[in-house]
Amino acid sequence: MNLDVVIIGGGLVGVASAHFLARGGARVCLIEKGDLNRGASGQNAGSLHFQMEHRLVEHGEAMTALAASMLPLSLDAIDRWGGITSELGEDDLDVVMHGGLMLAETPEQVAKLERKRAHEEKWGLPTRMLDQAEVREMAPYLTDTVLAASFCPVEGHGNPRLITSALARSALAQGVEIRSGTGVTAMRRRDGRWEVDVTGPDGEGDRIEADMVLNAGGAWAGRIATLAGLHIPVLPVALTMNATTPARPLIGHLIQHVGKRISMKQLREGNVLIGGGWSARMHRKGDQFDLSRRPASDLDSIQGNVTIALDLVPELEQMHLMRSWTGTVGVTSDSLPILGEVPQAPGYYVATGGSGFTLGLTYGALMAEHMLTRKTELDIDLFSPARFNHVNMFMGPK
Amino acid sequence: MTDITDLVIVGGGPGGQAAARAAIRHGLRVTVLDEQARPGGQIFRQPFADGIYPKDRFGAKHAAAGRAGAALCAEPLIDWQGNRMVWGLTPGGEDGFELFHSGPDGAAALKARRVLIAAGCHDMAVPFPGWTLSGVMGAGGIQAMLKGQGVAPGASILLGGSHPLMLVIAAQLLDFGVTPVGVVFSQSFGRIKEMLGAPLVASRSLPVFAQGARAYLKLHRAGVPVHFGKVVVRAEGDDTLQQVRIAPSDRLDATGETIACDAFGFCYGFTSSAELPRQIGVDPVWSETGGGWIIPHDARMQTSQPGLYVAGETAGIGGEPCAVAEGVLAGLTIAESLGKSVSETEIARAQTQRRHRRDFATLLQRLADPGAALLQGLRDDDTAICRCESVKTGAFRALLRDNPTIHSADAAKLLARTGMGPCQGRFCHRAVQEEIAAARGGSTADAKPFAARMPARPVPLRDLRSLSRDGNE
Repeated sequence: MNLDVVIIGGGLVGVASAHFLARGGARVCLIEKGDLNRGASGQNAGSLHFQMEHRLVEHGEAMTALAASMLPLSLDAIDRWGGITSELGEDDLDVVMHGGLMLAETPEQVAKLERKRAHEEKWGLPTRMLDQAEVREMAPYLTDTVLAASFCPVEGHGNPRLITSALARSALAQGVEIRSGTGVTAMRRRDGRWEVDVTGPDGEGDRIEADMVLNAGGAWAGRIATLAGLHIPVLPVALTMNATTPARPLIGHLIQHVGKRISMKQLREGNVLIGGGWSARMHRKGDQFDLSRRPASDLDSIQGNVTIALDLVPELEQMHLMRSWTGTVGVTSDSLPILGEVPQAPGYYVATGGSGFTLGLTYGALMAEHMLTRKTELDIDLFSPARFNHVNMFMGPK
Repeated sequence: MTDITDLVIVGGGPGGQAAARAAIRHGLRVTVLDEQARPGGQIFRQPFADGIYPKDRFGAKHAAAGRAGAALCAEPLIDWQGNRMVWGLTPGGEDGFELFHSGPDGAAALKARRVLIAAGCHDMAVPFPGWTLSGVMGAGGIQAMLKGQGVAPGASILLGGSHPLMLVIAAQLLDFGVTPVGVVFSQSFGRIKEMLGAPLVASRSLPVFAQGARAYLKLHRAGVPVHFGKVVVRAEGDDTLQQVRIAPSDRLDATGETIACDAFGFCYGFTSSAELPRQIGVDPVWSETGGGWIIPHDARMQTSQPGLYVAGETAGIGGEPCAVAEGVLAGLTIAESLGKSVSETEIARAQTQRRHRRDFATLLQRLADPGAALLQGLRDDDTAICRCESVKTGAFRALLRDNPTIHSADAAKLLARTGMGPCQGRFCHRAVQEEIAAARGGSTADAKPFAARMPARPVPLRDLRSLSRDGNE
């Protein structure tokens, strides 16, 4: 088959890219070394968070302003999540956009919320401040130490278990070839095309050729880049998520905090998911992190995370931790996503980093537009891998 | 670093107790964590309080086990902690482990230089139409109610499956004053007789078979019908169980015959409790007839994780004599690994004993094996495959059909929620793996186990907040 694109990575970004590329008429093959959706895409807590996160607003005004440049991506994501169920012809992908609260419990945190909100207002994200009384009225389940909150009416949660599979079904129906259990062993650029050597589930080798390669490897993106002789500074970070036993409807919003690591939401099944950036322990093999094994749970993280949840929602006292799990997410060294073509490797594209679940549909759509038309309506120059030219000028496929 | 005990044993049944005795004999300080209030395990489960039934109700051996357990608790080197549910096991720094457990008074952490998991087993879940009706349960659950609470789950109790333990439980019901309405074996009588004739049995395993034979005679005398070559294929009732339908094992669709009952205990075998070793990274192996995912170990009962040992059903279903032999062996080798002087002859003797018991266990597994095809034939599209999350078999099959990229239990869990509920897949994993194997080709083990993670069981959030872990900074 004469392929246009080989996508490496069967997570949300890779599969969404496959869907949008196929819809644009491209012939696509997606390869995934394990099963689809088994990395961070399927393991994250599913927040659709559009407000600027705690970690993005705690390093001074200049960094906050830089991070705010991602807000146009969030605006795009709001529309995409709102429409994805009908776009894919599905009945129900469990997309919930009932609003999200970012909480403040001290005057300093309130001031930080105000500053954050000013950036969001400038870029057009719908958020508004609620005072203590308004928070109590909207979310009576919260502790009364909450002084204020910023409210974004379209925040909520997607379902990490469902969205990638739905996109995969759509991609398959549009003729995308999906090879799971297939890992990349080598790749090279020859006569203006890319050759990708792979090993299939039964150990048999194969070579796939295409005009373009898209590295959508998430936490593995840096290693996949190595196969093409490139540096892509995506660092694997291990995180912990927690789920309670099911309970009656209690928490009707996505809950975040401007000064604490917490994300919390209640699913329709009744479970409360508690996460928010608490670490897990990556295994090591020699001087490398061993990404082939799931990170080990860290009880300190579980305790720390759960304690914040109990402090914020006292009624959780009655509930049990049913399940705790870990996943490895790819985080870029500057917190911005990497979206675009690597200048030293024509035809080699990267889409990873940032808030990969919330923005995953957006990354996929933008990459398809960018790869098929060489331009995007939404300006993504800021996110180009070209910002790492200072390392990749010495690199590139040979 | 605060206090670190020599050995923590998870499980206070025959295996755990045997290990504890061997270990304290060589001077180790031992903590036993057990889910029950009193020592005994499943087989020698003791009443939750004195006087709820006469001490010898379940025979002299059961009563003696109760006394021996109580004596063990009183040993100065033993710290027996009952009513403890162990939900976490992690490496605890150099040369040791940290365990986390909860009980009525909250959660606690414990450090140990060696850990032995003798966590036993539970009834193998077998989904069949109506199995989620109130009144349908594992036969082991019936036994637990009898011995632990002194109550029977119904007035007309039926047992059905393939495991000879059904005879013993039915006889215990008789002792208890409740005449069971029957016992239904899926095997033909001829097959059972043929296996009992195997030469190995006569020599070493007479007591166990004698117990079965005595129970059979007792049922016969009491007029309790024992059916062979038949299977309970459906449980029926409005809110609670009213009757079951039975069919010949080779014609599951011939469902004309019914038996009225208000409780039904199924007994096709047992599933090993292997979550804790798996949680710390020990890869299990699949045993089709001997417990599902079980924990491999070396000749000294040590797992691939240095310092972590297993005994009894956690290492594969073997019954009480096997658990005792392995407990003794583990107790000895652990003592030796901690520098105690243990004679190699004593260890070799324990190893021989263990081997004999395992040989017999393998024979019993074959005898009790209903055959995977029979069990898979019991469920239809409308049967719940995962009871925690109410996932029906048909929906699960459709999902596998619609998502050809799914090959593992964990990947299926994400889409179907099978294994996501409070039992964390303990009950549904076998059926889930079987369905994946049927859809994709390959064996039941190819679908791999669900990931085992801390907490192994649900833990109150407030216990997690209050849990203090000193010496861990």
